[in-house]
Amino acid sequence: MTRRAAILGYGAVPVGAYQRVAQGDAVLEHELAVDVVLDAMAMAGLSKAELDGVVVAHPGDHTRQGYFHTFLTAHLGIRARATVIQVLGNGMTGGHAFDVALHQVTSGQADCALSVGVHFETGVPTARHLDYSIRLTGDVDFQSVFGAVPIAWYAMDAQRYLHEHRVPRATLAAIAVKNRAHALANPLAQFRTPISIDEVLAARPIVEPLGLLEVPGRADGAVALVIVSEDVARASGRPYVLVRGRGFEHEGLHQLSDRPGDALDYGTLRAASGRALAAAGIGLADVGAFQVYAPCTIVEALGTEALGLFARGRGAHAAAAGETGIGGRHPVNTCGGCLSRGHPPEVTPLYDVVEAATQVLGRAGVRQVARRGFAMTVSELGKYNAALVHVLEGVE
Amino acid sequence: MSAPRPMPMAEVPMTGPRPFPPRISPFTRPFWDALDAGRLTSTRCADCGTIGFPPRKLCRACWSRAVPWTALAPRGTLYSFTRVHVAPGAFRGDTPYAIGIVDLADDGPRLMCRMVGDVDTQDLDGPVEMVVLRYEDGPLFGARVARGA
Repeated sequence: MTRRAAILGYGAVPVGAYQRVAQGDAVLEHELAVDVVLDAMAMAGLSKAELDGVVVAHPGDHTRQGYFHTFLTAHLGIRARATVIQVLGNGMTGGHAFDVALHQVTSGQADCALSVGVHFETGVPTARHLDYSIRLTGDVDFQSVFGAVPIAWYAMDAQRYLHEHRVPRATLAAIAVKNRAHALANPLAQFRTPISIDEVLAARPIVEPLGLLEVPGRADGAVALVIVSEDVARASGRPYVLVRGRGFEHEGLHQLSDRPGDALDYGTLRAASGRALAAAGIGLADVGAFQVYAPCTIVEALGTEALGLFARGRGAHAAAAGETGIGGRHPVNTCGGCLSRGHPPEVTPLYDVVEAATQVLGRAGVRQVARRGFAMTVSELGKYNAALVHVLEGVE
Repeated sequence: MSAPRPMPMAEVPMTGPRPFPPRISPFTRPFWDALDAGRLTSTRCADCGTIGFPPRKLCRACWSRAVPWTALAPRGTLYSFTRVHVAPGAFRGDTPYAIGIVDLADDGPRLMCRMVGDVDTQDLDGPVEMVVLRYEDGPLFGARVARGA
């Protein structure tokens, strides 16, 4: 049995620091989840009795409550006939939480499923967080031993990109400025003060050539989506977001190929987006807004090139020329992206779904793109070792 | 069939123990023993010839289990690098430190490792030599820019 699924409600808290507050005042992970779930269900106009399944984004290493999926289901008093599951996929975790909930509905196992995630990390010192995260993005015995933090891999892409395509340093930095400008009008964004190219270039180095404003800040966040069958969405009488296409690809590599070659070609994204567009029956030019998982400036440049929006080596130039701005030819990360909306990794893809849904429903205010028929969301893991893409359409 | 045995790699003394030491299994022990003796090695498929890195118990390309050890060229070219300024707690004493991606010569594999000595953007695509990083508790492999050889 295959049918279409839709997003009928969403809720999210502003990205920020919820865990790093004075002792005794920190909100708990399930408390944050309560707020976003109730907001999403209110938007959908559904009661908890109508929920058949709960799909939870694995909260990573820094929340205290274990087996969060079943704990949260109990905390919310949900009785589920389809599934209760926690999913994990590196930076793609939130993407899987969305995808698995969709599958519950398209397969007919559920008519209504909750996709929810909470990410906490700001209560943990950066050095301790990195002790954990170097184990995630490399071979622990042959790569992590050298201290390769996750964003170091992107930084090496940046170094190579600037060298190979002779891209001026300031051109790459323009992506951070563009994303900050987008975030100014996003109430969910973590960073909402304007920045200049000069400030990006003068920021202290983190992983050369990238400085503080070209890498993601530490962040917490929480998001919930209500996923329903197209029939339930239509019967609600409310606007909804139809999921029109889905594509995935894993290249069978973990961070780095051991065969010398082009490391700047994010081919998984090209494959996954091609599948998603084919399933949706539309072309790239029909998509009016792109949410591209990009923790660093370089990743957005390479991601837009892999999508086919721009030629190889031209992604940063296109951003600097305004082509990926809200009024540009191909608006990218209209929410501010990982750099300014913020990057709580396990739930970043869920925030991206919220922004894409906001755009196709025409509710993005001054961030609204002109062509709002279709939006695309992209999540990835490793260094685009895998990509997961969805195509969304607004229905009113 | 055996290639001419390369000269042992130069050694670079390092302070203290390895910050995040590798695990050594019966399978990977030959790699670490060879490194300790100044040689960089990995596994090469006896069926299809693919050299993998890190060493693996199977050939990733054809799934053959016949993967004898082979010597790798202790030199190559620098594909990319970064200098890490915000480090894990285990590496806090090393900051800033450089890591790089090296393509080994003689059709060898690509690997990532610590870079020692000066390295800058003008060194990209230039020659590097592999070295043994001699920590107090054991070796790691590294690379440094080959200058004016």
